[in-house]
Amino acid sequence: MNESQLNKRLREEVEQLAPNRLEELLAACDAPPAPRKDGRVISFGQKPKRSHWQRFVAIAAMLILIIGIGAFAGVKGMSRTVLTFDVNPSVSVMVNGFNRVCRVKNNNADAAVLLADEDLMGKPLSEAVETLTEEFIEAGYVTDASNGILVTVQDASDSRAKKLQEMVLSSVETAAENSSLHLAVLYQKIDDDQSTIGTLSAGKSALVQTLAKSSKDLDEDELKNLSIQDLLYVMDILSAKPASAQLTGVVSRANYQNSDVIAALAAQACPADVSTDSVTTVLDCFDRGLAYVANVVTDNAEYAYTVSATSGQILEAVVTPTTSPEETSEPTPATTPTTPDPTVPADPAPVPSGEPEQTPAAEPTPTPAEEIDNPLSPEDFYGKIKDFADALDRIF
Amino acid sequence: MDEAMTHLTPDEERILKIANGDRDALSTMYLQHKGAVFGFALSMLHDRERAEDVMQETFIQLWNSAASYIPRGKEPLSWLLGITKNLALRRLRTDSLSVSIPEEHSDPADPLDHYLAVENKLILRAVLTKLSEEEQQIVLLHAVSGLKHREIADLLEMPLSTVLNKYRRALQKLKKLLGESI
Repeated sequence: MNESQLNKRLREEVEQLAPNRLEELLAACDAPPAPRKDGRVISFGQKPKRSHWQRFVAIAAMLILIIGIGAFAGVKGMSRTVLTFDVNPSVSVMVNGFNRVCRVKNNNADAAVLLADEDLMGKPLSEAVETLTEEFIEAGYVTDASNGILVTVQDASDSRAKKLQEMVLSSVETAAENSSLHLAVLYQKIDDDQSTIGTLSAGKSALVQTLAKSSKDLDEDELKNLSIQDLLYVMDILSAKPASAQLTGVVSRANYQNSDVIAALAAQACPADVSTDSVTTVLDCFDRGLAYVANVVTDNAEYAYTVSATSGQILEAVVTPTTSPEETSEPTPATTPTTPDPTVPADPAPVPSGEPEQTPAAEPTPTPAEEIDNPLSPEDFYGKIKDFADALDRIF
Repeated sequence: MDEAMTHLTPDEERILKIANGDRDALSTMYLQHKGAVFGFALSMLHDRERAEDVMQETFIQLWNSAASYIPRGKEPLSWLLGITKNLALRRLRTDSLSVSIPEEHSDPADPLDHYLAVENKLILRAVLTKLSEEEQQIVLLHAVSGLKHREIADLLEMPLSTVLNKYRRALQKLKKLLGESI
């Protein structure tokens, strides 16, 4: 076999082996060619045919990708976390694993009114939080003096709660900066099965329960009626922050009288000559509001003044004689009038002046000599004892 | 260059027609040169399926880039095989992690070797299994594509003398191997 014959034979073998895929080629060429640019074609216009194993790998990879994306999306989509924002309006938003709002629930009428024209559904959490905060501010629920927002997260792992916290705080901060406000955000994570008190949100209920456990003077029934700002103030005063919560910012005390002012008010109201130092104050609740109970003990009586923590108004005064029942002619637990004291300024740090109306001084304590001159009958003595016991009940 | 002043070869005329969307011209080019393109791709890739892919891609690119061809009055097969070479090299780069290209395919378990044996392509089998890669390319380009040695040298970017020496050495190997079989 010479060279020519060998080449001819080789050519024939290759030609036989080369497949005829003309139809496939023409079909591929049906796609319009890519436009020319500077005399060069920059793409093939259509993806060329792949070999069998490449097709298999490509299909397998695509299936894995689809299943992976599906599983990822499913897990993310199924992952739901509830964030509740309490100011006075209480709004709960459920976010999916992609941090988009998938449900909004107004927990009270104020929230329904506030968000009547807002649609948070489908929004990224950060955007929704910013919108909510702006609404709180515009409606006056959040101000410099009342700057507390309670944010509660449920159904989240610790790490996810932490990530959401950063997102929430950043958004709140953005909205606050736009209004030049300094807000205090208490971010707490609570159990999924957190019990609720009445119609309160789970987050507010949890905070109320925590504060009630931290104080022997405050119970759930009293605390549940307080505003979020009041609760945050109580938390701040009692240093009773929930273990699973983080406070960002400083809770404003602008709306509250401090204990020194309360003591001064009580000392001035007391008929006896007492100094402010002798007045003890205890944070309490009165008539659905936050109040201080200021106690003054003298030789003859114990005076308990209930003073509004916000206005400084003396809401109630109870006087209990400290003399023995036998010496007491008229036990005089007395209640102060409900009319506001005009001398008490609304200023956060008022200087008390003048006398509260109907102070216990109007009923002087009888002297032992008077009691000797007027011996009690057994019935009167029994009545005095009963009155004294009633007075003790009111105090304790 | 002005087409009116250039003597066009038949294939050049077809390429100009392809540039104008003539599918018949493309079909003619395909049927006429698919063996040369396939053989060259096979010599570079050593894999029939990948060589088929590159062959198809070559003609798709011809269809898409025919307008960029500058007629020179010479056979455009070298230009077409240049496309094949670039596509094959690109395929080798993308498949480099999974495909190795041995110098000689003496392993009887090799899929290509087995296929060629079944198909009774004795000479092609000898070329692809007993010659070096460069020898394979030179032999196939000369025998199947009909390229002159100088064109092969240009296409493979080798000195002409190297191409000639390798071609003669390859022929000697083949004659020795196939002497008794043919």
